[in-house]
Amino acid sequence: MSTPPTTIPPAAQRSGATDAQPRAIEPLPPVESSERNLFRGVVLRLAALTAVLLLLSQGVVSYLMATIFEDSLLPEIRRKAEVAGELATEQIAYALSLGIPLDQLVAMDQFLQGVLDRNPDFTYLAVVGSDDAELYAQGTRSESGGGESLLLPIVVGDRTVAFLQVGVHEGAVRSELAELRLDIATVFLATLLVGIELLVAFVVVRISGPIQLADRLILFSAKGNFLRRLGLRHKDEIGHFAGAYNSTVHGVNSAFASLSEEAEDARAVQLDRTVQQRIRDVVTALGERFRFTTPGTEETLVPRSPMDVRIPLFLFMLSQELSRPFLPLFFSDLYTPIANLSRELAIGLPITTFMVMVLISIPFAGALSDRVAPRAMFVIGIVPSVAGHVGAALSETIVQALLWWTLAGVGYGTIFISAQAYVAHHTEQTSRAVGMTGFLGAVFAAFVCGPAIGGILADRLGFEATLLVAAGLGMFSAAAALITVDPGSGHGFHAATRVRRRWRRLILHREFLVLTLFSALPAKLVLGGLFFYLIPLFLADLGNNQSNIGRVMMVFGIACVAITPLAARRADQMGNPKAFVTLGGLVIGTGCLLPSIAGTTGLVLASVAVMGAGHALVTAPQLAVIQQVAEAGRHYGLGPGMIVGAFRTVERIGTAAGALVVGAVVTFVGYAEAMLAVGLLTIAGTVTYFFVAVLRGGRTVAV
Amino acid sequence: MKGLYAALVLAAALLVCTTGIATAQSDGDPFHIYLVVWRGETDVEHGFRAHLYERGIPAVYTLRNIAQDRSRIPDIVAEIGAAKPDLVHTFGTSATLGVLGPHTDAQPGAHVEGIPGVFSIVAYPIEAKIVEQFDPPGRPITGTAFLAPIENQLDAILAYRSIDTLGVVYNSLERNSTINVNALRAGCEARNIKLIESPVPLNADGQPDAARLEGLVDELVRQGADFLYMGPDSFVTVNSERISTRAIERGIPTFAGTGATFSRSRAMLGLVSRYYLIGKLAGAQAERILVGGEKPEEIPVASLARFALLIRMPVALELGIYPPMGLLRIAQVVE
Repeated sequence: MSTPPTTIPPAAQRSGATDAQPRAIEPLPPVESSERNLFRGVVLRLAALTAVLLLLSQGVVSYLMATIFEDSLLPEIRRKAEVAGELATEQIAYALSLGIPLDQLVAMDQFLQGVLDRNPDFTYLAVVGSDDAELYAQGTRSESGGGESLLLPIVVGDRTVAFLQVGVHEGAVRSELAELRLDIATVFLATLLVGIELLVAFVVVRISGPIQLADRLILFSAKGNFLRRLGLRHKDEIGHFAGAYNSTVHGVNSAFASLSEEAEDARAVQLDRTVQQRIRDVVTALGERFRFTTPGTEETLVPRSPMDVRIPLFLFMLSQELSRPFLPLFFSDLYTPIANLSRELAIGLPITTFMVMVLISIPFAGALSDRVAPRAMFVIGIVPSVAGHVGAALSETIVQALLWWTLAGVGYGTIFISAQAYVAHHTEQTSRAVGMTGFLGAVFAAFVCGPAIGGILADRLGFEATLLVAAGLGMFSAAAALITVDPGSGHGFHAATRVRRRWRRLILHREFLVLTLFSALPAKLVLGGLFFYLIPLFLADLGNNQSNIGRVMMVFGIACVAITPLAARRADQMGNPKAFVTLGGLVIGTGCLLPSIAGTTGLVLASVAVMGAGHALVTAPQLAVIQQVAEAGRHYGLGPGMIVGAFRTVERIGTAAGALVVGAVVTFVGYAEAMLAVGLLTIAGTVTYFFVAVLRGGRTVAV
Repeated sequence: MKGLYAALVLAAALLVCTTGIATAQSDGDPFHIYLVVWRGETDVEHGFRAHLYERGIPAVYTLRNIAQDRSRIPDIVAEIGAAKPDLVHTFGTSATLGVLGPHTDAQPGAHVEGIPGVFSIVAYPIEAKIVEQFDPPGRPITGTAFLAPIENQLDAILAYRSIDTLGVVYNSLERNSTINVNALRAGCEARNIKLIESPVPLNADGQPDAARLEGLVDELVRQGADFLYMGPDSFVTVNSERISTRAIERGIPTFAGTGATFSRSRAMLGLVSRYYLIGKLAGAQAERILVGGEKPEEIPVASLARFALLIRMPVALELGIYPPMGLLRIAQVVE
């Protein structure tokens, strides 16, 4: 009986009312800002509460895990020492079996020292006779009595004739434990973030979104409007509530319909024209004061919000970030000489082609979004992405991996645009920034968790298996999109602004040129070239395992997330975004210089943190500057959307070129030197920007 | 075990060679190779055949044994001259010189001519005038050097035990031996080892006097020698058991520089080439000539990169001079 559910974006104009209604339906009242705050408060409190609970439970679980692991790790270290020690006992037993007396073994000092040299975990080796007399010893016995000590039998024939005492480094045990605790802490942090991210999205989609809609509908009906019903079929309290509300609306409309019929009947039997007129007036007045519709033809409203896409987008971005800490190393493993490319260039190539495909697929996906709904595009985009990951995992040569990874870039670009189109469609112009914040929130949460989780997976499963896990997660994100995202909505939104035409005019725009050339491009060169390409290689070269590389890369994300809101607020308060752009550029450049002091993991970590902070400092102010340019651009006949779009395109070109440029540099110099070069370039660019834009051009923008 | 393996390979090689003749004849005859041996077939010939077999090179072999009787050489030379085989392989200095002749003052008709030659188990090919130098040989004959370099021999002794004084008993009439002692002298000097040279005195016939050997060993020990050296020396090899036994009785170990000396004697330590590997190396030289089409005069005389370190454990135990742990990992211990 009911009309099929139609989707109404919150507070969007809905001109085509049902035929039964002669008059246009007035729009739903917009959400009061106080209500928005109320719900934000609820979400925040829920998130905080969950965070605390997660923190507690995760803390307990992590602690238990750590103790259990430690209990099982010690025997493992013991076993390793046993295997290495047994090689030594076998050789001693062999010498004894040849007839050499136990107390007359020749050159035992060198022999034991050799064993110590081959096993850095060993501190001390001694041969003890069956009478407990120490015959030979090498190394230093730990004074504190810490560490492990093994007593391995030396067996000749069936007889144990002596023992080899093996002292295991206390530090070896400790460093393995530290490694383990770091892993647990990383997983703890990552699951916490994932949990909060999913919780917030869930609360918005399943609780606060429906309640907001219901709240607005009740306000609507309180004003006497009974034209709409709630399209909520959840089997929870909100669902029950919606059912009750809908039957009330249905009941009111039915009552009015029967009242109208009865009034008509009553009118028909009245002979007095004035009474007839009176009945008609009463019914008409009732219809004017209240808004009724034929029972069963109420319009069904389904709560839709840009947050719907947040969970699938987060899962997809997470799958993309898993490979972040090992991608260059993965390509390096597959490397065989191709053409005249150096190894460094060849392994940077797939990273660049991936970004180039993202760049190319964005206008195509934008054009596609005219005809295809975002949800369908999301699912379409998953196909090349998953195929690219699986293909890369199964590749045997770098050329194969290059082609598959390039394909994966198409998927990334398509899905990025589909999510953006969905968010844009579901937000009004005014709240679009808020919607986009949620959109970027998903990207950032994945940016923080992904590399750390990917690193740990890569250490335990290997590169190929982790790529397959990423592919699986990608498919899961598509499934999530099918469940949470509305299939029909979002048509025809032009996510990609068509830019090509007026490029030349824009490029000649001085402010735009100065910002892109001296600030945006160097910053993206650092992101694409150093962060995506060089840092994993550098860290691996310094002897870090994948888990460590992932953790270091997570620091970049954390620095970004921590500083971005602060920077945005401060920049707004100071009203001088260009100063922040300059400051951020200098911070990024300084970060790049750190490893040239000494090529240690600690300094690379510091460098990554500083670079992340610098990125956080420049991103929002850069956008503010570009908005200023966009405002000024109106005078030149350039739309603001086009200018921002062009800026983004240039940024992506910078990111794409990064790996190749840095790869070319690394071909000739070391990692630290390459970072130094990029850092100096960034600082030089920033200084130029300062002189050209801040000192001289500071006041020309508004003109 | 090794011998069994070699025998199996040989049997297989023979089987395939005989069947290989039929198949090979369709696309050309198999190579005809003369193997001239000094005292019967050894692992060198087994290795030689095994290499060609493994490389899929069809070959038929004619084996001729001099049996240490030089008078048989002219007949063998004449036979080879008539048969015109593709290649001649000779074992030992005497067989090589007898069949292929020296590169100087060659007598026409006395030696095989115009047929490529490969020699094995020649201690000093240059000094024996078989080739002018190792690289290139300078005449259509190449081969394998089988002695471990003197430096490696001395280092093997030092790896076992640090010594001050090394004694050497040798036959001054053998050129091989005197050349070796010269090299030994230089090597010892470089390592600060005192070398006591003890040439075997000659008897009335002008031949080395075997009866004096025990006395020579006693004298060396009296002068302070703490290791005895036996190099490539036929006389010493023949008497090596007597020499090494006397050394044990006087409390010092003996080192052998060749496989023949080590296996005949009671030497405690040896650094030797494996005959089977030498044979395979000679086979590789033959392959370059027969299949690769290279000229033998341009193929350098080859030597093995690895030698076998042998320890005779009963002697070590008897002397109470035990091998160091590190050496036990790489040495082959023999009874």
